[in-house]
Order: sequence, then structure tokens, then C-alpha cells
Amino acid sequence: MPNPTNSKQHRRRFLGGLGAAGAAFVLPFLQRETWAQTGVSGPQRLLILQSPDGRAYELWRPTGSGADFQFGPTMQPFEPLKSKAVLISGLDHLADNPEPHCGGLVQWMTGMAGNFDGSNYTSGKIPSVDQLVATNAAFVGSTRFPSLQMAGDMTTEDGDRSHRYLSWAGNNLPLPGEFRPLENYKRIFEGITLAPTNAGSTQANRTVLERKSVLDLLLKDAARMAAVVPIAQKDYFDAHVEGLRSLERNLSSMGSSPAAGCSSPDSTQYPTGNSSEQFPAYMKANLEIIRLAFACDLTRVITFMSSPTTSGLRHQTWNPAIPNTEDHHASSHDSLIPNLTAINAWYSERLAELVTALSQTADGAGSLLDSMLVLYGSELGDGREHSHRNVPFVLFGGAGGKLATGRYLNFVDNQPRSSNDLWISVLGILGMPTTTVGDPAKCGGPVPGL
Amino acid sequence: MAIQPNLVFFRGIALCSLGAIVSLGCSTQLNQGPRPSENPAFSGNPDNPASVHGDTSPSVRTMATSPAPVVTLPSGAQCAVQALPTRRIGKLTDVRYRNAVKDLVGTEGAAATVKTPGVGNDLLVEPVDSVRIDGGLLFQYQSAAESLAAAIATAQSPLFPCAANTLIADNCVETWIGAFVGRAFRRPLQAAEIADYKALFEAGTEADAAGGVKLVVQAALQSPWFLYATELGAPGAPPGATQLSDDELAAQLSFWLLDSPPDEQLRLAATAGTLSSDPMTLVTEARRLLASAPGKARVVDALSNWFQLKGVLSKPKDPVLFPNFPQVKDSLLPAAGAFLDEITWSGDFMNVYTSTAAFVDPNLATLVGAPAPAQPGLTRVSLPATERQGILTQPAFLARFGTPTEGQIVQRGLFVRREALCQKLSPPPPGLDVLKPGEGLTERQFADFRATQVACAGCHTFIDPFGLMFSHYDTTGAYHESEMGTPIDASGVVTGTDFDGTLANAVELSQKLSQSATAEGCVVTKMFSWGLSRVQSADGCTIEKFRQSFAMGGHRLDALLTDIAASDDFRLRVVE
Repeated sequence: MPNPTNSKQHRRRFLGGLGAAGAAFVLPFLQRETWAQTGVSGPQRLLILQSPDGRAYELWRPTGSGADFQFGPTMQPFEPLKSKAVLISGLDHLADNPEPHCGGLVQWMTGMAGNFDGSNYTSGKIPSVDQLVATNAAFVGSTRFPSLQMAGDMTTEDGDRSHRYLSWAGNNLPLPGEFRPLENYKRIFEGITLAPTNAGSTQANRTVLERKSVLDLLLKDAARMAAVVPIAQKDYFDAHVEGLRSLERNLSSMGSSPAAGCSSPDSTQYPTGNSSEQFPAYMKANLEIIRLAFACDLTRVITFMSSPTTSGLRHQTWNPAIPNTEDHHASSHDSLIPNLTAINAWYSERLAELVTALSQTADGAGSLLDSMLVLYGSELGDGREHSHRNVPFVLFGGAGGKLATGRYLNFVDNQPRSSNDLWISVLGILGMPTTTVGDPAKCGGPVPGL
Repeated sequence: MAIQPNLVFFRGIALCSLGAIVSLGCSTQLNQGPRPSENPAFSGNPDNPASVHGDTSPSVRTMATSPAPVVTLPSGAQCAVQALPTRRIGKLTDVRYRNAVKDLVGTEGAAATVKTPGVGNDLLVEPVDSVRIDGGLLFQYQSAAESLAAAIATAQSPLFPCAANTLIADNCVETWIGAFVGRAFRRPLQAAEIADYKALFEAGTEADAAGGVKLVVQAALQSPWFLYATELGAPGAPPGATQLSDDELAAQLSFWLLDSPPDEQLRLAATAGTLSSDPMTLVTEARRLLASAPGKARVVDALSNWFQLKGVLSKPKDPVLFPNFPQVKDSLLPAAGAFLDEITWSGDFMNVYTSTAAFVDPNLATLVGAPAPAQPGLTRVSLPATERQGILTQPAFLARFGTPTEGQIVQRGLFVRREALCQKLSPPPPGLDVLKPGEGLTERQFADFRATQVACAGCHTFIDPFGLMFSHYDTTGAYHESEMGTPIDASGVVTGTDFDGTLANAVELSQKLSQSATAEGCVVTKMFSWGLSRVQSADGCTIEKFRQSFAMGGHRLDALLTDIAASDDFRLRVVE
């Protein structure tokens, strides 16, 4: 670029230099994603939620079978949603992971035993299943975020870092969730404007243009760094470059028009203190963000970790009915049934509230829940003995007509049956049929009847 | 059931090993096949598959028969080849990022709320090369940079030395970019980089320079050269060892000891090339940083992380059994910090295990049985040598490894193995199905039970004896001579160490640690790990060499740290 000789020419060059590309940034995002995937409702979405430390079996064991079943005690809050639910018992996280808590997380989400560092860090070896879906171009379309990772609480000792990771991008590439609602809100809903007249505001356009110039330079800096980063760290640094590119892509969708059912969450009352003390407020705010992120089609894949495994949350803080002083993890190891009953029922209530809200959110021809596959599980079966057997799983939603609900599938028997099989079924439902997930030796095939 | 003082019930658990992270190295064999379903843990639920299936691991497994050192100590001939750290880039921790922002633009501003998801600040070794920067974190950095740039970039900003309408005299702008962005990058800029930043400046400049300054500040605060510290050495180095550049050495030293980018004196030394040409310069600079108040505080903070003390804040105690604990809780870390500070700067660091010093306020004094000090704040006292010696008998440590009702035998024992002896053990297999001994056992009774079970004892003989030696101290760290009239037996049989045998209690254990070559080597291992920000630390030969000089020099920690600053591991990297 030739040197400016006076400021007037310089100004013209600044705005003119970006030309047609610049104009594109100030237009509202008019290109709506067509609901091409199902024609019935919105595009399919995947939501995976974890609550920590498994469940004592006698507290969630259902009665009945098939279409005629009743949820067990701590899953009673799901009873009104039964027609939208599929309850599955008898699935196991099958793998040799030396450390049962993080090993359970890795086995569940990737289908394969992890890398264990000999002390207290278990990392995934391959991408987690949500990332298989998030990297499928047909599934994610042109959504702003291929996937989002969120959490309700991240309180655990730093020595237990891998207790906080649900999703994995690849070999020892964790994707920790953001638990602060305000940061989630700012990032996820940036650029959504609900009044079309705002889309053309001068200040917003200026911000976008400046950001584009800065990002161009940052990508050059990143290219210079990528040229000298050791090969062993290539995947490590690629995330940075890809992150810059996604920031750049998202500039072109600033000022989108909202879909029916889409609105920006109310961010005025978000908690900002200690998540382990204000956990209900963190859960409520983040679950609402999740609902609206899907409703606004900002993403189609979300994983949510309520609390890291070995949860140190003391639910007594907001539930004084709990009689003993132990935290969740200690309660499970001390087999404090009154504590575990109250804690797990509380989690069920929160999820039931979310699923109900999803069913009441408009989307396409039906409700948001109709297009969703919500999968609720845990990294452990019976947490009292670190068991990976009989992990509780509940699915909700219609998955765009691909999931028949209102059933209990009971696989409790003497044979191990891998939770990988559930993922095989899930991927088939989401239009990515496969015969194995993770470790093929730990797969039996799709879950019968799902 | 009534709970009696000093004898608290620990409801038995179905698994021998409990706690957040458990690991055992053991000679244990796991049986194949399903277990009978009459597991009393699940009485009334005969169809619970957990008790019917038994363990999920199909094969019989035998693990190592004894704990192994984290760093293998090879013998003579193997030390001919050095195992140097590899080149890498590492993301700045949140603390270092904030300090680097402040160093560059004079204020933290919006950078104060940037938080890398999934990491905290309790670790001795920052995982700088396994925590990635991705889209979510880049968004946070972007928001902070835009906010800071908008606040700072006025035409009269003190950051920008050129006249407001300086567009003709490009030299000033170029010089400024070289200095400002160079300080952000912690190295001189290449010509292409200066040209690119100058082009950005021009794109942002309109009526006056403020717009250009703003964009340059925005970019500098988000550049990967700002957000990562590099350990790459000279570009294009052949395979083999390469030395880190002066700029990299300055940054590595400063981030290590101060969590901050290099100050002016370090930058001058780097520009003069003396850091790379003379390792003594690194020693001199390290001494200077360690002599400063922030440097001293940083060392004490790192030691607090090594002893995992900060976790005590999330270890509440039963309010019925220990109603006074809330009054001491907030004093525990400062008291431990004062103790570590005294030990570190007053001579023999191995006194960390034997010193009877303690720092108490009136509430803490009651907890440890010392006379109440007259003044508020922390007062130095000496505790009875028969009751307390060293950090492992300080309330912060004891309470940190304690449940609401009892001290944790396994956790305290594991700490000694892993963090005082630097030995590694592998964890239990999942779903280890063991008969529960019954309800309402004390920690001691449950430990005795583990000792009688083959599946447990193979591993727990290496852990429980250490933990049991802390039996005199309850979960708040208070000392008890006896329990319900019976003198407490805190003895244990130690194996797999250089001081094997029967020890009477934690005091005797601490004395043994202070004289143990393994424990000495562990101090060296931990300090290397900290200095290099690498979990795997230096190689065994280096550790042994430095252990010998650490021992011969009277265990001065500051000398060890400055020696590390001048070491090959600190200065050199291997090129793959």
C-alpha cells in the first residue's frame, strides 16, 4: 500500500480498500439455513449432559418394561416427560482405565481407554463422539459454532484436571467447558441482533471492519509462528489458527435475523461468584443459554458437564434437607443414601425443567425438542464402588423423527454391554451411520430396539 | 447414633481406596469372572449388576511389586548422554498474561476477567504446553484487547511518543512499533513484522493517530507472539542441542520467578547477549529476582502448591465436632506461608520437615496448644518437638487432607509417597469388588481391614503406614495424645524407602525425611519441574548431580534455584 500523503486520501483508502468484501460485512446475515435435514422440524441437534459420580442403582431402578414403565425414585421428575423419553439400563463403560473417575469420562465420551500419566491425569486418545458430530459438515451446516462445551461448575483441585474434561478434540487435546454464564452469553450471542434496524449501525460496522483488519494481521503472525512450532505441537497450535479463522468467519454473520423461538437470554442477573456456592444459579443460567443457543441455531452440538467427576459440591448449601455434611463424592463413597437421593433427584429436576422448556420452544413446524437428541448420562454406574457397570442413561427428544420415545430398554443381565453401542445408535440416528465407535473390541453393534 | 469426641465414625466404603485421585502400586492379582451376588453392600438389590458381574477387567493382572521413582536414577555410563527438554511453545498462564498486559499498557483493565477454562492456579507445575488456545479463549483475549485499546489509545496517549499528526515522519511510527510491539513479543521484530504492523497502523489512522494506535495495541495484545512464550532457540538449528535465545532466557527466568515479563535490567542483559554467553549472568539475575519481595513471595507460593495446601480452603469440617474451625480456617495458609518463608530463606531447606517453628494468631494458638500471643496477627512460637516437626505436622497440611470428620489416612500417605519421595504408584482398577467390612468404622479400623485383604494390601502396605503415622492429628490438625483414654498408636512399618523400618509417628517420619537422600532428590526433582514447567522434570543423572551439590552446600534452596537457572536443562533444548 503506497504511503498516504494526506489524511483525506488515507480515509478513502481505508474504507475503499476493503471494497466488496467490506460491504458484505455490513449486510445482515440473510441466508437462512433451510431445514433440509428432516423437513418435519428444525435441523437435528445433539445435547449431551453429564451429572457426576453415577447413581446408586436402587435409587434409579425403573419398574415395568417397554412402553409400560415407571421411573425410579431419583428420576421421578422425568415422569411427566415419559412420552418423550427413552430410558436405558444395563449399559457399561467397558475399558481398562487405571483411574476410574477420569477413565470413566474418557471411556464414555470417546469409546476408548485413555492415556494415563501414571499419577492423576487421564486424557482421551481420540476425539469424543460430540466432536465426530461437530466435524460433520452436513450436520452443522453453517452454524456459528460447530460445537460448544459448557459446564455448571469446574471446582475441583488442579491436581485432578482431567476430572473437568468431557469433550476431546483428539489425542490429549481437551475441550474444557466454560462455566461462567456471562462469558458464555457474550461469546455465543454476540452478533445476534433482534431489531433489524440495528444491523446497519455505523459503530457496529466499524467494529467489524477493524476486527477484520486486526484478524488479518493475527493470522499472518500465526502463520509465522506455525512455521517454527515443533512438529510435536502441530495439533496444539492448529487449534489457535482454527480459532482465529472461526472468529473471522463469524464476522460475516454479525447481525443475523432471529428464527422463531430465538431470543437473546436475559444476562442481567447472572451469578459471578463461586460456582460451588451459587451452583443453582449457574445451572439455571447456563441451561437457558443452551436452550436459546439451539433455538437461534447458533450451534447444533453442545456438551454440558454439570460438575466435574468426584464432585466436591456440597448440595446442603442450597438443599438444607440433606442431613449429612459430606460433599457429593464423599456421599457416594460413604453410601449416604439420603444425600444421594436428594442430590440425584435435584439433578433430575433441573434436567426435567430444561427438557420441558425445550418442548415449549418453537422451532420450524414443531418444538425444539422434536428435533433434538438429548442424552443424559454419567461417567460412572454405581459411584459407591467406582463401578462402570449399568450406567444410567436417559434420552429425550424426537431427533427429527428418528427416535421413538416413551420406552424403557432394559439390558440388565449377566453380560457386559458397552456404552459404545449407544453411540453407534446415536450416530446412526444423526445421519452418520457407523459400525464401531472408539475401540472396536468394545463394541457390540447398535443398541437393539433404539 | 451418638458421635463421641475424638473418635469419629467413618462409614465404611465398598472400595479400599477412596478419594479424588487414588493410585496404588501393588502386587495384587485380580480374579476373573463374575462374583456371587450376595454382596452385603447391596443387600436388598440382588439384581444389581455391579455385584453380579464383578470386575470388568477380563484378565488376571499383576502390577509392579513396589513403588517406582518418578525420575529413574541410572548409573554411571548411562549419564554420558543427556536427556534435555524438547523445544516448545507454551501458553502464558492467566497470571502471566495479566502481568504481561500490565507491563505493556500500564494497566490490567479488562484482562482481569480473562480465565482459561478448566485450569486453576494450585499446581506447582503449570501445564503450559498442554493447555491450548482455541476459539473460546481467543474470544476472551479479543474482548479484553478491544476494551483496553479503546481506553488507552488516544492521540495524547503516553504510550505513543509521536506527534498526533505524525503521518509524514514514518520513522517515528516505525520506531514506536518496533519498541512497543517488540516489548509485547519480548524480542526484536523482523522487518516484515514491522511492515505489517505499520500497515495496520495506517489502516486505522484517520483524522489523527489514535485509530492507528488503537489497532496496533489491539493486535499486539492478541498476537500469538504475546500469548505464548517460546523455547525454540535459533531458527533453523540442526538436530541436537540448541541454546535458547537471550530473549527467551530472560522471559523464561522472569516468568518462572516473578510470573512477569522481563524487567528493564533483564532486557538490557538480553540485548547485550550476556545471558547466553555467560551462565553466571543467569545466576546473578536469578539472585536479583529472588532477593525481591515478589520473588520471595513467588517461591513461597510455589512451595505452598507443592505441598498442596490451597486445597484446605475447600475442606470444611463438621460444625458440631469442630465448631471453632471457621475461626482458624483463614489463618491456615498465611501461617503455613510464614513457616515456609522462614525455612526457605534461613538456611537448610530440609528443616522444612523438622522445624518446630509455627506462626500463630490467638485462634491458631488454641488449635496447636501454644500460649495465646498478646498481639493480633501472626506470632512466631516454637511447638513441642515431640508433637510437631515440620510442614507435615502443620495444621494447613493436616486439615487439607481431612474429611469433615477425620484425617485421611490414604491421602496423607499418598502425599508422602508421591510428593515427599517422588515415587509413583498406579491406581486401583475400576470396579474392584470387595466385601464391605461393615458400617461405622474409624479410619484406623478400615486401614486394618485393608491390611487383611489380599486385593487391598498389595498396594496399601506402601501407603497406609505413612498415613497412620498421622493418627495423633485430627482433621483440623489438632494434636491428641490419646483417644477415649487409650494412648494413640501412630506407629507404622515403612517399606520401599531409604529408611525402611518401624517408625513411631509423623515426627519420626519427618526426621527420616529430612535425612533421606530420596527426599533430597525429590526436592531437586520438584524444583526442576517447577523451573522448567515440565512434569517430567530433568533426567535422573542431572537430578542426582544436583542433589549431591544441594546436600554438600547445606540444602540452601536459593542456591538450588540459581543453579537450576544456569543448568543445561534451563538453557538448552534438544532439536528433534
